[in-house]
Amino acid sequence: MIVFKNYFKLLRNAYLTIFIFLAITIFMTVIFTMQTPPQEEFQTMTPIITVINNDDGEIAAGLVDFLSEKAQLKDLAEDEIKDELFFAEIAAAVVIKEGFSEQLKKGKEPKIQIIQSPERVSAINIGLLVNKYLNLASLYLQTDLEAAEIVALLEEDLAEEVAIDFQKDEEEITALDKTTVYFNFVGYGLLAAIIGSVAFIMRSYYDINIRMRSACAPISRARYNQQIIMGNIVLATFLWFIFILVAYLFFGNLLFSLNASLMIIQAFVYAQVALAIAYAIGIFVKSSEVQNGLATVVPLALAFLGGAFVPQFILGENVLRVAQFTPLYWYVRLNDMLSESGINSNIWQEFYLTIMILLLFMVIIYGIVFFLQRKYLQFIN
Amino acid sequence: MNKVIEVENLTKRYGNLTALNKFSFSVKEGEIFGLLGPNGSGKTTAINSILGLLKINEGKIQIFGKQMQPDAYDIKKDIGVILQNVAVFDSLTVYENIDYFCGLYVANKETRKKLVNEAIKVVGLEKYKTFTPPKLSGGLLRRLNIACGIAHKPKLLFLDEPTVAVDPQSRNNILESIKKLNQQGTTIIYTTHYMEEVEFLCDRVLIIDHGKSVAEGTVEQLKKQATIDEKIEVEFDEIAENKIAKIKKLPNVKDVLVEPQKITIYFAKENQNMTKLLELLKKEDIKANAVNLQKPTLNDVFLEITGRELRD
Amino acid sequence: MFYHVFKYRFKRLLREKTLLFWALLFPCILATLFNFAFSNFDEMMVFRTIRIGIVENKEHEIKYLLEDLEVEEREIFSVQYLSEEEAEEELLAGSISSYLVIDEKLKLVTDRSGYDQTITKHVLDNFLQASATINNLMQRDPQKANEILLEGINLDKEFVERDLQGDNNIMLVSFYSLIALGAIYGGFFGMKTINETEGNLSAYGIKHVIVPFHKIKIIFPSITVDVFVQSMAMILLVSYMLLLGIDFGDYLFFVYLVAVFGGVVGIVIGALIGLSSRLDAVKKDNILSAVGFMMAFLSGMVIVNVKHWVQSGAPWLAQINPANLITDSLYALYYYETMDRYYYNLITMGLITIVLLIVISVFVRRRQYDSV
Repeated sequence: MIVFKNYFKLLRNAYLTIFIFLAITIFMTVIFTMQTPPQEEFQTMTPIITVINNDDGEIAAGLVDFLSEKAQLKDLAEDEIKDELFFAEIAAAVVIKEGFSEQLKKGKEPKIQIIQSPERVSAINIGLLVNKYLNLASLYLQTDLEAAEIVALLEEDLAEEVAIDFQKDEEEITALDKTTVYFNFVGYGLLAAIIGSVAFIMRSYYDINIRMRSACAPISRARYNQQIIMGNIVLATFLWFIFILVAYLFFGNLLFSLNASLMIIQAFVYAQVALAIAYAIGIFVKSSEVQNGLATVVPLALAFLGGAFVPQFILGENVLRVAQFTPLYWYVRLNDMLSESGINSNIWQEFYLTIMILLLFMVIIYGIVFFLQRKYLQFIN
Repeated sequence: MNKVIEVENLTKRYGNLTALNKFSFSVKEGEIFGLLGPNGSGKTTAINSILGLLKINEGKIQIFGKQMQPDAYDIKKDIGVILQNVAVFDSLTVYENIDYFCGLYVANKETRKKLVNEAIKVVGLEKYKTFTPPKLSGGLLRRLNIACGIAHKPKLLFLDEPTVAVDPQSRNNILESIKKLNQQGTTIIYTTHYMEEVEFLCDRVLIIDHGKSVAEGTVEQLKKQATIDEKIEVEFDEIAENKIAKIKKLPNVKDVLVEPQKITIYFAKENQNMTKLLELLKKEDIKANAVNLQKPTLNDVFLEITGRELRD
Repeated sequence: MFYHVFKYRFKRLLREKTLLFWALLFPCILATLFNFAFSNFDEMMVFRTIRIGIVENKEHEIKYLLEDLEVEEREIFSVQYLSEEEAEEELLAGSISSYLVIDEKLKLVTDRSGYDQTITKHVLDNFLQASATINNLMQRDPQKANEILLEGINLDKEFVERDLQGDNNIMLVSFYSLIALGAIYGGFFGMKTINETEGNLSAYGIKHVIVPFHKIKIIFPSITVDVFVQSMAMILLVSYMLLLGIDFGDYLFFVYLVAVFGGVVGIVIGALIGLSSRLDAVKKDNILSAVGFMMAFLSGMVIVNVKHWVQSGAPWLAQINPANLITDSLYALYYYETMDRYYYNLITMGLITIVLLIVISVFVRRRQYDSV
């Protein structure tokens, strides 16, 4: 058991490294989770926009009023727009040209200019709203109704909304959504923290001199590896626990809904898979620089491909096809399912299936490592 | 004879710990000076201070008769250092390594080329010119390390435990090279734990402990300082009891240890103990198979003075 | 002396693979990865089929709309007709995202407001709003209303002209940040140089300090090699990204310029970290990795929004984060026609470098140490 006990002595030496990895990943996780908007009965984030209205017609004014209900209007001069977009202070700028309402009345299709920076996805919505308003206005304009009346009618029309029957508790849903985001990101964080810490410690154990020395000691290689793996498992479990703790600090008791509990369990299993990967890196990678590199690249790669940062359905089929060969893909997939569904037999099936798949990954990785270890170690005289 | 190094009252403190305590000594030109001391005695601190690497609290250091300072470049150009930690570049070959370090002292390419090849020859690495350090064994690495320090033919050379973990062949080579260098005029400061090396190489020796000089002199002088006994072992097939009594009555005998087929006789230090014993053996017709004399070694001296073994 | 030290250090760096890995390969790998992962990104909302249920207690034309609605020849909705109990079950099980109860009024039953539900709601709202308009038309001007109905209602007129500032790439900032990361990781070179020239950091340092000249004559050529190699790496990185199709705008020279300059800043940062004598080499490696990554993260590498949050929430941080200055410069180059912001960032980077160099030189000037 001495190897096992020694593990924790080494750990003490490594605590700075581990702390750094943990701190960074938790920091990123927190920020990522915070950015998820709360799900309050379809209150989407109101983007901030600016409207430059160079027209004096009533339709244009009506449009501006309409937009002010759906977005936050900011007063800006035209030359300030570019800067504001650059800094993402506004999502888009809507510019209504002079004579717009006139053109519209004549039955033409004059254009409203929407200036947006390339990355502001929320600006798309503004375009849709503008089109909706103006299309309906065009219908009215085919009659003889007065502009003022049209605007009033439009206001009425656009107030129509389908009745919503919200089945779940608002708080619960928000918590579940955020929990999902959190746990998906943990797929990255846990992997990064585990690879960083474990690979670091293992480098000491598998340094060639120490390995040769311990090959002479009255402990079989199998037991040596075994004890190191035991130490690793304890460390991985500890790291998993820290992430759960942080989750609890964020979500409180809402963390223990059934769905979230399953996420916690899955995270634990996933941690063991992450451990297998870390173990492989620790065994086969000698230099600390390459290890550092892998500890950064591998989690990022798996996280991007598997959908931890960007939702899976946005990634596209090609990417997902590749991602299926990584454990993180399945992990995220189950989390997403858990966030959308209640508990029923279907979900249980998916749960068991995913856990099985994750364990399979783990077994395969360890298997490959042990196999190669035996071959590789034979070359050491 | 000129004093190459003169150190007076060198004091260096690390916080509360006094590593060097008014340490004084001098080294004459052309000698091989051994600096011995147990771990933590201040050897390395002393050397680092002399080299101008450390800020000292008190003391005067002169090399070649001039005050030693970090910017005393005229002094530094004639100094070579071979540290205990091998510091060569893994991605450069043997030749390139030596050329690099030599080039920090010798600007002229032609001269340098000659010097580098000479250094390679001195340490016996001709066959390994194009090898890189990862491919060299421990002994060869140390030889390379040495070559890097001597290539520019310094007048004063510091060697800090150059033969640790080195195979006998390399060790031999190293010691021979050092002797040769010295014969060519290099003054050498040598620290080691190996007593045999000290006895082989050093003209004078200083034992340092707790930051102070505790013994200084030639090897012979130091050995004489020991107050411990001479030991003579006699091996035989059998010996009569009365004969043993006669042996006990020899002059200077302090104690006799009797074992089956061997007696160990402890004499007070004195010359001619062995002669007197041999005469007695002959006179009494004691058939001895072997007679071993063990004079006090440097290790014994060291042990007596510092309370610790040389190879601690 | 300069050439001598330069030549050997250059040889060494070229032969030492791991350092080159960090400098060059690593950011290129990440760039390839990003490129692949983002390959499907479109400006528009990405569609997946939305599964909904309909509880048809009455006849209503909405169901035809829902069945037929498509975008780019793909159906938006996949509709199931269910009873109220079945619908509730399916919703609970997650096999439908919401269901519509068609009664006297329309009612949408759902349990969350995610992408699917939001789109469904918008479609239904649009329908109700358009219906209200038609109704009003019928009331006010029935003749005209009939005309319109006969012709077919066209609600697809396009009134919006999008002026995208630059091209369509939502994730540009990520790539720019990656360049910043590569630049900061030039710090490994700087760290190595300091490690080898400071007497209290390594035996190499001692060897370089006891030489018969000021060690600046070793540091300067060494740093020159570092700058040279790192600059090459940065140029290759930018070129590789161009190969991948990343858009940097029209002023390529300035792109290379800020990348190379950023590399210099990175080297200086690494040198600063390397000076610490309390931490061992491995820990310093880790710190540089972590710091570099954090800086890049805060400039938008992983989550683009982070860049903007920092800008609005802690603008001082955005100002001094070298990675952000680099990313920001690249973005400004791409986005603006004038070079004001670009130069502003470059000057800030220059100031930071000078400050760091001053700090470094204070420590490097010393030639004696308290302990080695």
